[in-house]
Amino acid sequence: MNHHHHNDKHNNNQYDNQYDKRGSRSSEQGGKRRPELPVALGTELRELALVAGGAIPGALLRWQLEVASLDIDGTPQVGDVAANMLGCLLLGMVVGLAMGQPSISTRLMLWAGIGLCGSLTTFSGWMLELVQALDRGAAATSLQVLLTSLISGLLLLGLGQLIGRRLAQFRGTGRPAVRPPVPGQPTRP
Amino acid sequence: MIWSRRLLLLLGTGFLGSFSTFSTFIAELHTVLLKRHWREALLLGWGSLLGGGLAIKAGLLLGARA
Repeated sequence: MNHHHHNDKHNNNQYDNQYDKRGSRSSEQGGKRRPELPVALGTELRELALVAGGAIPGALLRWQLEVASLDIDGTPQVGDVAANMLGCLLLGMVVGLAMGQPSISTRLMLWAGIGLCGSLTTFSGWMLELVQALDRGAAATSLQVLLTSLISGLLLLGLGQLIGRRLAQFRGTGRPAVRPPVPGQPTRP
Repeated sequence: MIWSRRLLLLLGTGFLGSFSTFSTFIAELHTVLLKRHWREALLLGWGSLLGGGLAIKAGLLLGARA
């Protein structure tokens, strides 16, 4: 019982209390059984795997778009713009789907929203392009890239959201369940 | 300069490209614009552009010195 002393002494410690609440019972079991993984740790690992599982293909896709753009254009910038636009469309779809499918929304947001789209799109690459164009004295190009990216990004995000909501509806658990029935009109099966 | 190519792939394309995100910025802008919160939209847009632009400029200057 000697090594329990350490735990008992710190039981009033806020961290220890929190840790116990999160599912660890290691302090009650002595040294005979291996301490269980705290429940929260398992959740965190799953969340980490979801984000990483989206981030890796996202970064690889952006890299390949940059490589293709280097071959065609001589610069990676067109590839970055393409990745940003694709990411906006995808994120819109994710947001639209998540609105209609609450049961999968957290996991979908972690994998596709934070992982895939977050990694596929790049703000720093965009900024670099704008600043380098300004430094070259091509202010018009800089402004053009700025405005087209902003406007098409916003439009594609809105379009994606519409598509996502339609997809959620198609799967049968989307908007019809949320939307109140219109009086006098037959409800759809 | 094989090192600079590798460094650019690892830190530039891999780390920084993934670290910074464009889609969430647009999604936030989209949300405040739909809510017609013009002041917030202006603040978010200009703040991000100005902050990002100045940070890139500072980074370029620091990198050129090293």
